[in-house]
Amino acid sequence: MDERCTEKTDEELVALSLEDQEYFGCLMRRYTAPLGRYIIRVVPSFRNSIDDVLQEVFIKIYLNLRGFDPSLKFSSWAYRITHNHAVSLLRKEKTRPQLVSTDNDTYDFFERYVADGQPNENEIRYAKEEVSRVLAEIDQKYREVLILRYLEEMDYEEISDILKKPVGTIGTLLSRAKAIFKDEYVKKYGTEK
Amino acid sequence: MSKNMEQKNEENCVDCVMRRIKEERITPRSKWRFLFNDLSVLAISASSLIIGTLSFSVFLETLLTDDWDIYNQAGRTFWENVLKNFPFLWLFFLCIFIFYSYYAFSESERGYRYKQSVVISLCIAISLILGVFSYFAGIGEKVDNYLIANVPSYHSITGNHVCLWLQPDRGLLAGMIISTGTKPIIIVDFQGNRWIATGTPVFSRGAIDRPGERVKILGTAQGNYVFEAKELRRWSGVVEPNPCR
Repeated sequence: MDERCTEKTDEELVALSLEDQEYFGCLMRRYTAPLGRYIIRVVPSFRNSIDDVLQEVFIKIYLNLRGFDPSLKFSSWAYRITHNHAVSLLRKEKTRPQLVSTDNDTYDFFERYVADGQPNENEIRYAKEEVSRVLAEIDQKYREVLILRYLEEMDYEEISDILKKPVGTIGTLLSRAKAIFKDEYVKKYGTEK
Repeated sequence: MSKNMEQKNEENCVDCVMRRIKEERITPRSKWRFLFNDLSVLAISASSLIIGTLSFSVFLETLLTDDWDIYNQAGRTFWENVLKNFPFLWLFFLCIFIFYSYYAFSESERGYRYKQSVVISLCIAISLILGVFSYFAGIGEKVDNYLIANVPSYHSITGNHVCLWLQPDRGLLAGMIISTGTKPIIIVDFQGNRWIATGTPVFSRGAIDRPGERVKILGTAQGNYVFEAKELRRWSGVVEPNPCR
């Protein structure tokens, strides 16, 4: 099955999955790692039960497969379902996440973009743990756009499709989120390094 | 987490989901269900827009048929008149339904892609333009009349214009024309009193000198149910029995 899947696009696999459920396995293999990482970033406290959460997400994706709008990227649509599931988990938990998971590669990317302009030696250098702590402190609506933009490396249109908000609103949210992130960082760690 | 371990977890997850799909015989939901959901949301948005349109139509009807020039004569101050007669309720409904139609549209499958300001402006423009058309088509008047006839507390919320016009000692009278064959005009006011309207009044704001027509009369009460009429205006709207009890 895997060999048959490698050449296929996500959208083709969706169409094939509706005829033969085995093809859905291919889609899952493509998205287990990214969606798993995303869930842990949004609700870090579910790190230990990530397999169960992922299963629920994939079952939801499978159930809603005929609702997939081909004018969207499959990845945006799958992230939207994952995002909604993660948000409902957050609501159930009623506590703020303790840390947002970041890794070295995405951390570098995040650092580069949250700082305005090109980085230079005087620019802010955030420690990985500090970024996580600050992200955990800020409001969910700002945290989610920062995660999608700088950790998941999505473009504005993809974020718009995931969060179901206009592209212009995403731009506004992101610029506010960056300012809030910086303020929160300065408040927490004194000065920008 | 090592790459191998990640791959192993991935396979476990895929196997578990595939097993659940088979064992629980899970199948994708019908496409009609999604179509129905999306159409329902759009229908809610359109319905809200229509109610907003009707609200604006009734707003215009109550605003424009109200006689803003006689508040002084009726013994009211300008602000008292605004508070009692301005159709705040319909303005409130208009705002609520414009907001709701925007909200429902933005929740539809593709509605979120449009700029908030564009969607809100469109909802406002559609409500206002269609509201003006339906006002001129008489729909606002029909809705207003229906509410007067069928909703007992409607007048107490929107302000009762009838009593304002049943003050002959202040030169204000309203009722139905009974006879016009020979001058003077005979009318029965909305409290059932028969009046003789003398003088040569001006017919304005759509008033017609015809039996069965309901009119407002500006003039001077002469005593003994004789009223010297200076101006007749068309009465629009239903009058409930014993309006000033």
